[in-house]
Amino acid sequence: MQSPERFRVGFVTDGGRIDDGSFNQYAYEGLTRAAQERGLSVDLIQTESPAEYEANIRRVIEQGCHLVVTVGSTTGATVERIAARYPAVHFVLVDYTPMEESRHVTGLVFAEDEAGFLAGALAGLMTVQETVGFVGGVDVPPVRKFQRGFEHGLAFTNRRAKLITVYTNSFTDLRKGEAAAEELVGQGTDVVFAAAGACGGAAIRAAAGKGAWVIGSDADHWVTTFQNGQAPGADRLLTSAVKRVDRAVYEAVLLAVEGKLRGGTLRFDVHNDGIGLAPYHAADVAVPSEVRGKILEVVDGLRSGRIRTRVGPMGEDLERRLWARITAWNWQSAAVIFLAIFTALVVGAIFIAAFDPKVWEAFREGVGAGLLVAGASIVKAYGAFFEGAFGNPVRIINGLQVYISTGDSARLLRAIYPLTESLRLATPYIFAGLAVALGFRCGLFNIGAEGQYFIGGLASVFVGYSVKGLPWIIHLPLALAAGILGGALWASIAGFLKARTGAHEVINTIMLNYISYRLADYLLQVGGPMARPGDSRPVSPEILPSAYLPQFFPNDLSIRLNTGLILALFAVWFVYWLLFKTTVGFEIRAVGANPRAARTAGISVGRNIVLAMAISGGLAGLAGAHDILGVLHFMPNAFFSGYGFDSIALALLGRSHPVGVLLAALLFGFLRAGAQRMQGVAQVPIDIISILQALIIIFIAAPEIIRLLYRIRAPKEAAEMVYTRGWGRV
Amino acid sequence: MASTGTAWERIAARGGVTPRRARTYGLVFFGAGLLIYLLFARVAVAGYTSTFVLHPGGATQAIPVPDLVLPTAPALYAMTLICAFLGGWQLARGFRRVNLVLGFIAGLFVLAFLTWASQGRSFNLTGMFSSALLRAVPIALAGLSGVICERCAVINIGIEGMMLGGAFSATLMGSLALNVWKWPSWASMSFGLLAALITGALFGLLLAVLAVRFKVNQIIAGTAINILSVGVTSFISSRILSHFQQLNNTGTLQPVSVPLLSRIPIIGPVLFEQNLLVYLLFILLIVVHVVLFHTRWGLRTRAVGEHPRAADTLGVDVFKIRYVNVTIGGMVAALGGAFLILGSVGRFDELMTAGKGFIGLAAMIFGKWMPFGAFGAALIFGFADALQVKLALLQVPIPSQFLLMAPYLVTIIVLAGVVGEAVPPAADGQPYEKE
Repeated sequence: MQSPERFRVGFVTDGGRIDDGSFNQYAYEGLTRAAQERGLSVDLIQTESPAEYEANIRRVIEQGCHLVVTVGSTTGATVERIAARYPAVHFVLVDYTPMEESRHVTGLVFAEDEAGFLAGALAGLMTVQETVGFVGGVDVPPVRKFQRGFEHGLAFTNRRAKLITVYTNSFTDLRKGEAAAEELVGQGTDVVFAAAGACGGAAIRAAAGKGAWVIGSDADHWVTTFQNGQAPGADRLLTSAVKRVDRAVYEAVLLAVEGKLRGGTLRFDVHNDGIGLAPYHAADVAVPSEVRGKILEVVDGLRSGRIRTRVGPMGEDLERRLWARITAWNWQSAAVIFLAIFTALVVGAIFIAAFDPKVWEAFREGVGAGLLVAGASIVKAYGAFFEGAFGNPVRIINGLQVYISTGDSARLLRAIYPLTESLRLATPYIFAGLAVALGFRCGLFNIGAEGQYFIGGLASVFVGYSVKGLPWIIHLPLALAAGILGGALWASIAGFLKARTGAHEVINTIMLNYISYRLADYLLQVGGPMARPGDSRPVSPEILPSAYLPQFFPNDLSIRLNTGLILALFAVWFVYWLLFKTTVGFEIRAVGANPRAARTAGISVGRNIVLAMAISGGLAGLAGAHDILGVLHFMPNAFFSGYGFDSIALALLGRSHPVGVLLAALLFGFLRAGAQRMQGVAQVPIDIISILQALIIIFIAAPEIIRLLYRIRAPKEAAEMVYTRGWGRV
Repeated sequence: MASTGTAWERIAARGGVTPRRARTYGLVFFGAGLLIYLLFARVAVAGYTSTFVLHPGGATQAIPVPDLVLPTAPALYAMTLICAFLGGWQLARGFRRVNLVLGFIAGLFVLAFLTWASQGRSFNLTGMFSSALLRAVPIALAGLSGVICERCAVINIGIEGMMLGGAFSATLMGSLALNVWKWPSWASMSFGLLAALITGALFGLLLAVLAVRFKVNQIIAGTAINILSVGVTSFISSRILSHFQQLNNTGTLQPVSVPLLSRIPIIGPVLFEQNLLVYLLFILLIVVHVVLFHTRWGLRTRAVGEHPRAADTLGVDVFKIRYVNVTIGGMVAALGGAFLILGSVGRFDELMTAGKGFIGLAAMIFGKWMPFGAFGAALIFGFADALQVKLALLQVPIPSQFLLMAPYLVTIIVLAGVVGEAVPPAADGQPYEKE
């Protein structure tokens, strides 16, 4: 702890004076109070012109200040840039959120939305004409927060009241403020709230002159705009929604002196009296006691969290958040994904045409004929592809008509069969994609989903046929659990080796894949330990019906879609919850983002690697269990299912987010169902899927290629996603 | 040697390991002896002999060597005793080169296993070594490809795919020249080899572009190359090779004896009665070693692998080094694929590389990123691979699937035991960004 006598604080105004009746003044007051209490020395520089600002800040730093306090609403970015060069000096920026994460730059932020909410609640109670006005300065987050808070506060106490909002686009132009006030009063408002700096002061003075109730913002306008009640119209000032800048600076300086300031932001709100309503002053007599009581109730409600302002940190409206999210969706990255898929399909089309013997023959007759046949070949293939993926729309409509008129669902079920088949194929993809995505989040590249799928399938089929006499409510969960456990144990071998010896999981999971093929081969070979007695094929016995995953359409058993899909959706939710809502998930992500930093923070890297690998393997095992318990009901000795590679593409496509993986898995379900039909109808080998997948992975991992191809401009810096690391110990 | 401290510390100091590790080694040696006794010596039938043939079958120029005939049970008991003695020595006195002894014990264990497996029969040891070398070649080439790429800090997980691509183009082009254009055998094989090299170069270039130009995570880029290669080769294979069988038959290279050298007993037929691609591997190993450690290009490559920023400051073109090395690495990997066709089976099957590229990566790590180190490791994998084939012939009462697992298990064990000590190039896997 530093000795308070030698602690020097520098204060640089952002162009205003320290008696400007605004943030500079209040910040200086708070600083002075702290300095007097703790005996700090204060170096004050009042900036005369913006050009001097940077030099002034450097001057106080060079004078040896330990702490620099500035008002950052407009100049914060400049200060932050300077701060990067002086890591030993602490910076406090009033009304500013630091862009970079740093331990020596602290922003003081205020809950303007709560202040606005209180003003709105009061306005709603005081209005007679049920019309209330808001004057905003420039549309920046603090003003936006005042506005939204005011809007919601008004609606909280008075549902019928109408709000008229005017933005002046200025904090300084007094004329515009007056004009806005006149217009609002002219439209019948009888309460005006202004959050527009000096311009807002002019607005409320003008509105008060017209006889409306007015509410100020930021500071107590009784003192400033109405010169301690001396100016005309002071009796019309209801109150002010104040940000207690003095208090915030005082607290921050004390923390700095005690060495407890850690960077980031300090938030001041109703809870710590960082914001609030100023005294009613001359309006005291005009505010009825039930209104005061109601306002106190609202303050209490905000404090306890019973009432929420429903305004986001940037002034966004949380009520409309879903819609806002959709509109604020990163369309560009969505476009890259879409174009990646599209481009892959185009390249796939070239492959289809280029390796069709009929096309070659046609080209011998001439280029025109060749192109025609090539086009026909592509249309036939992709036509089969889409019909295989989604079903024939004409047949679906016919089936629907029959179902509606006669109630016979058979034709409809036949028609939607491809669709259900796509969903059925998507189900194991969801599990396997989640498995790889979860690994990515921990910086692990689990290429072994294939082997874990096999082992999970083996374990679940074993429980499925060998455990007898159980009701399905016990048998089915038991078989599923066996699948999870099998996959989890298999994957944690690689996780354990990675954690203990640094052996890279990519090679080990692949080796475990090959070992699992041989193991399955051994167990299922004719006469093997898990072979079906008396069968000439290398297959396991049928599982008991009590271990079946129930079908969705029990009256048409050819439709193989089963309740595993619901299980998969649950898994999506579970992984989301685990990763983003629990400590376990936080630790896994911390290890993935930076293992060294995680270790420094006391997180066990090895334990989390084994855990992440086990969960990942469990999910892949569930994919195997689904195919056994829901679809096949026995285990064949298939050599290569392709889930290992597919799931990597899924995780990349879904950007390692569970919901993204879900969407990608649905896409792949459609791809695979379509490709199966394409193989049957157009003789296009199903390996086309691997080509499409590889291209999609390349395009998504290197979005620059897509941007070059389609001339899309680069987006703003996006957070880098860690997928996996090189060799050696972590 | 330090003469202070406890007996354990002295023993450990002699072997240059921690006391705990020194004790573990001693127990491992004992354990190996115990296993030889329990698994083999105890169940060996009295009076049987194990015959090890040290002369390859067929026409050979090697000077004949008599067969090695061991009385099975006494030989196994002797091996048990040797292990026990070495274990006791390690626990009591400690070996200086304890890792060497560990290697010896491992070899002894394998010999004991073979002695037991071939009791009452004869086992061609030279043929076994010869086949081990053949099986080691593609793995060694894959490992060499890894060395070339990773010495300049580009991880190449795509070796498997590059091998598959090389194997496929060697088959397609070699068969096309041989069976359709009716070229002579040597010309069509050279053509197939050339096609493989071009394919490998293209794959290498793709990896380099993705890793260097677009700074894609190298493991993801390599995986994409693997998937792409599986897709393209299987697609074309089922579209074309399955319909036109004449396009899937290249013939194979015949062994060529090196004069004089092939006359050396045992070693001669193993090393010097092989096909040309095996000799090409030997040449490549020497060339890569010399280039890496004795030329300016090699020095620059290693500088880029360890500290690209410093290399750049000194005027080395980091990007150029990486482009060239990774492209060459792709060609070497594809050569490994071509060997699978021209040097061994002569026809392409989908997914025929079966993890050899990844095993090659493990060989690279085991060999500490050195060309000959990778080759030595590849020999161990090749031996494990050849062993399971031979054992199946000997009708050893072990399910063949478990024998087939051997190379993969060995990979896992090797990686687990060695990577803790092996140090990759410092900048391995990191994209370089110019300032």
